[in-house]
Amino acid sequence: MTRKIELYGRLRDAGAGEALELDLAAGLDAAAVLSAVAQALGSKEPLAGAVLATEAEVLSASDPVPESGRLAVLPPVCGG
Amino acid sequence: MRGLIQREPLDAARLCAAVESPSHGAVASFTGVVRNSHEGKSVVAVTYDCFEPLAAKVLAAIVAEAEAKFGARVAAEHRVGRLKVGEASVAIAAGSPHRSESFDACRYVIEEIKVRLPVWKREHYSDGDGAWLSGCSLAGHR
Repeated sequence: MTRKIELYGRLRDAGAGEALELDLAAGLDAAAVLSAVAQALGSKEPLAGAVLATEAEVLSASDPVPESGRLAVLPPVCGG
Repeated sequence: MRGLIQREPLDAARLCAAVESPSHGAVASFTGVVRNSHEGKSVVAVTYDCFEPLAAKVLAAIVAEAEAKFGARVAAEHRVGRLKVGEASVAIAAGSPHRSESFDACRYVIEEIKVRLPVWKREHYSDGDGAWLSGCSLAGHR
């Protein structure tokens, strides 16, 4: 299944722009999706401290990834 | 709703009005403003990036926590987009019967925003360069 993965903050400058389109198998957990993102970006380095999130919550590494809805990779935050 | 992500300029006076009550003897506010320097570099603007659906949910949760924790009425807004030096990036207001709860509620909200809100800032420098600022990982925040 092709999924759009949104990128935010410093990840927008990691070479893929504002989003990636990835072919993902069903039933993956968040850690597996982050690994696929790292592979697409060609490096794990930009993902240091990053998490996968839905519109409703930050996912833990072992959380299953919902099969629909928005997905985003969020680097460390610095609002305010 | 008293916790919002905004694209338009913030209005701290409007937030203060939103937390007023005849039973409140205190209204405190905090405004975060884009400053003109950072670590020796001359800053001309800051772009705030945001994952809006989650940020709106988290900001509303922080406001609700502050209200429950301090018995205050609280409002907070965070702006996104490109802001010039002097523009407000975040505004918080709290009203309560006595002053300490209002001060504490404002402090709680800004400190939680710093570590939980999915917002990122990219500074723009006078030499034309720019940089995303480092921050706090959301790992462990649910």
